Amino acid sequence: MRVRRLEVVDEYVEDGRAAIYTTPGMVVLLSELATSAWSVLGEDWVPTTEIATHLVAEFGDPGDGAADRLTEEALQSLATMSLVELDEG
Amino acid sequence: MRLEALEVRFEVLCTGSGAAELASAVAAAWDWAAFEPSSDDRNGTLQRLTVVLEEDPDELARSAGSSDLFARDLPTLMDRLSPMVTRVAVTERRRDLVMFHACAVADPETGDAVVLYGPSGTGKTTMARTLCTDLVYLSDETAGVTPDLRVVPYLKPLSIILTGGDDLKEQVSPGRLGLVRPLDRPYRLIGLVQLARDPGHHGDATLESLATVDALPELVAQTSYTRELDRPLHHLADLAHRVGGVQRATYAEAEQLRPVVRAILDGAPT
Repeated sequence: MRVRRLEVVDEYVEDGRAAIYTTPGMVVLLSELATSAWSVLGEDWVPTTEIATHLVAEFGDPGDGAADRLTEEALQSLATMSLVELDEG
Repeated sequence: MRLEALEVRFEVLCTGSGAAELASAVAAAWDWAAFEPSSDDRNGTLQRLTVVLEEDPDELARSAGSSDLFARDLPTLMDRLSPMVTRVAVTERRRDLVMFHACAVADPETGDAVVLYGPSGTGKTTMARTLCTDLVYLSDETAGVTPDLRVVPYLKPLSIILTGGDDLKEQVSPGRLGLVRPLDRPYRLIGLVQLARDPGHHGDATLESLATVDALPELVAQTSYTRELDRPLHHLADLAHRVGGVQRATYAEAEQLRPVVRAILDGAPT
């Protein structure tokens, strides 16, 4: 699975947490983990495993091989808020 | 009738068979917003609103097309005039003011102002009626803030429900309600308060400081035309930082806010 950022109106980060003004007009607050994932995303597609690797380095390994699954769940959540685009292919 | 809203000047042209009654009602309700025409007006933009009060349906149908607002009865027309003036004024000032959906009050001695923002249902009109028997009334609807933190008064009438279950509200001059009128002086924003009404709250309102990042979603939701601002989240965060951050007030009734607003105006730590 791959992921990339969608265009947003503005983003504001304070103490590791972001508020993001989405193009549809909502302002959403991200957790520290979601903010960290968001911070490494850009306009180009990247594999979600890369994001998982970054999050494990930042927050530690949840164990049981769950990092990839939890990362994908977090990214799915960002996708429902119109922050990222996912490519399942 | 000429009136000013957020420093936008309007000429309200009252027409129809009820023109005289309408003009009288507008003049009474909007008396604090009235201004006298001067030679300067020739150079300034004047928003013209044509308002028709006409009982005869055929005549109303003929004149409706060329009017901005029309109705067969006075209460309906007066009820609709205020939102229309607000909409036009807010649209006109969208690029040079930050405009909060808020009740704005000020200390009559110092000119320090507090903006209490929140959605409909948080009781901003009741708040203005309650607080502004001692504090200066700046608005119960829209608080416009300039880049140098001046709060631009919007001295609209207050919309008050006359009878239970009646959707129409009477438009009442703030003077008729005994509120404190602003003087010809600047009122400077020193406090930004997010309203959190909790019907079960007892005692004085409680005040807590919010991290700016946590305040932003509601701040944006209660600010008009945020997309017109350059980097809106940073713009609003900067404004919040300049007044010491956003505070959230939890309360059930407007009266409970009196001590906490006083404390903010007195510069007391929260």
